[in-house]
Amino acid sequence: MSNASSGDFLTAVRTRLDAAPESALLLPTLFLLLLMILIFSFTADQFLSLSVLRNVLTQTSIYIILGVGLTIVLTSGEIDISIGSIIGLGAMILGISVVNLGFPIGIGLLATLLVGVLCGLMNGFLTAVVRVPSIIVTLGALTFFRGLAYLLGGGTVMIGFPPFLVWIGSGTFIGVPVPVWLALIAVIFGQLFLKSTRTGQHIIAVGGNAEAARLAGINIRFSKILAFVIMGALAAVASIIMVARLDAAQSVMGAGIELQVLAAVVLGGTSLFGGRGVILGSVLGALILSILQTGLLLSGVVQFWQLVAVGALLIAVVALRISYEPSEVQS
Amino acid sequence: MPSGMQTGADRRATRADAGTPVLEARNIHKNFGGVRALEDVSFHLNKGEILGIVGDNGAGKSTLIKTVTGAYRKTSGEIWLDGKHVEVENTRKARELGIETVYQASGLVEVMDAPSNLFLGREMTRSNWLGNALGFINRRKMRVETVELLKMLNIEVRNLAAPVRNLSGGQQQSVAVGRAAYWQGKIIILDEPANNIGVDQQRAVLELVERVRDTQGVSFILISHNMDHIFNLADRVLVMRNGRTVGNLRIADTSRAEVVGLITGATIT
Ligand SMILES: Nc1ncnc2c1ncn2[C@@H]1O[C@H](COP(=O)(O)OP(=O)(O)OP(=O)(O)O)[C@@H](O)[C@H]1O
Ligand SMILES: [Mg+2]
Repeated sequence: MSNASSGDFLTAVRTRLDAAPESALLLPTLFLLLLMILIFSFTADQFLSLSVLRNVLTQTSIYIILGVGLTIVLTSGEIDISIGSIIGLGAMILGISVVNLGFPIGIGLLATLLVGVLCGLMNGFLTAVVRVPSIIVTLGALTFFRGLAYLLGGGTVMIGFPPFLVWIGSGTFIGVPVPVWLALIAVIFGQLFLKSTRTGQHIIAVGGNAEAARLAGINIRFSKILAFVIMGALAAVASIIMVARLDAAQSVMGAGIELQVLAAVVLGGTSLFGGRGVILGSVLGALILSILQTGLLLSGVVQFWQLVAVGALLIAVVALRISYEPSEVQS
Repeated sequence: MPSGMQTGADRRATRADAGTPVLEARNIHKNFGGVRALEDVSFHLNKGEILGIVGDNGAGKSTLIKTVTGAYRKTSGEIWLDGKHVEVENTRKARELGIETVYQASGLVEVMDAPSNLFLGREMTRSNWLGNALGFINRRKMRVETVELLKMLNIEVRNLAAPVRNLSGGQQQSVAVGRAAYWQGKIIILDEPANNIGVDQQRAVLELVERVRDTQGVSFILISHNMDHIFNLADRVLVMRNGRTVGNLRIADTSRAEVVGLITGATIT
């Protein structure tokens, strides 16, 4: 290849990347993911097996579902760190309604979803209408919802769910685990909603420049509340999958998961300052974190080093991105 | 150019005393807490007229148009459109009533591209039932419209998919003014549209204003610190000082010295 044509090629690639700013964020993340798979396929011999792959995917589906929700909330310029506690509360609602009270599973699932929506509604209302910063609202909600979960369930483990729920957790549909299907649906929904609907565009606008959005007649309150409600509903779905996977419900479920999800979303290129949400990036981010952990585990690295590796990777990726795109740090 | 100015002056004389005003603000007051930003401000805008608003920094020009267009809630006062009393609760209502506004700064979402900004809050949806029901936007159509508009307005934007923060200040301002022209309001309000942009682009924006006025019969309110722009373009000028109106003069009957005197408070009316 001559010099000129390689230059042309590079310009063409650049133009392409500029035309679709999102792919500029996605490609490096995808590259990182593939690199990691390559490395672990050498260091851990069972790594590239179908069972490990399926396991990783199933395990990651919860993070992907939560990641979609958190991406939307971050895009609107807010944050939600209460999602782990919504999961705990949802698990209690599911356990009490189905196991303790003997309601049909359909009712239990609906009740769990409803509680997730109500949690989101509360977070959204306090943030958008009462105007308490969302980091504080959801910090309070983090202990508030967890407290409610303990009040409802104490320290007991609820078991004895009907077969349908067990199928949600461990069953397959056309050979693919059900949680993976649910994650796929969440991703398609999130991508279509954020990028292709008016409401999604309004959420981006509100997160990008709230005053400009307001002057353009966009309802800021509605946009933000909706983002939190979607997050709450998706946290309820995650809660259902978690209970289904363990075939048991406990009030501590989901504790600490918000940091993992936040790490995955930020890794994927979503801005912490609002206005830019990369749903597919969050999927890649979640996969990277899972594969890193599974890969290190299978390579015989002790757990403590896994924690160090995850933290270091997160900081390194964001630092790299900022050095290439200074606008990341502004307002 | 001089002959053009002549006919312009002739037209001005007729426009300045045309029938019912398209827009009238009566006794507008606006307080921010204890601060009186507007005190008993009244003005009217005739059909096809360009009304200039001038005044020092902090005189209350932006506050006045934000109050009139529903971006701020007024403390008291009335807005009349075509002789009818209207309530402008918010900016959406103002747009529905045919008032398009380019606010000073912060009109665009910098992280979004030009088409998204042009259609901000009024995105085009797909025409099939699913598009309507779920509000699926029609990106292709918005992009085509944007290309046409930018071509018509002689605005060069190389990469339409890039966030507008990658555009120059002048290009951003052109997109903001272009948005007001695109939506064809009966009234277009421009808050310092020629600020922060180069001389060529200033001229382009101001020519655009005249062209839209002449072809579409739109009435304009033009806020500016630039006396050249006001005296070349406006039919009438409203002078503000410390939240009050201190002058309402026909350009044909006044001079720069008089207007500047009113702005600074050197002239007593
Ligand atoms: N949101 C607000 N809260 C409190 N005070 C405000 C607010 N907006 C404007 N003011 C005050 O109202 C007064 C008028 O401000 P305004 O922005 O209308 O001036 P202006 O004539 O547009 O000035 P400039 O030429 O600098 O744009 C100023 O004293 C300003 O401090
Ligand atoms: Mg101003």
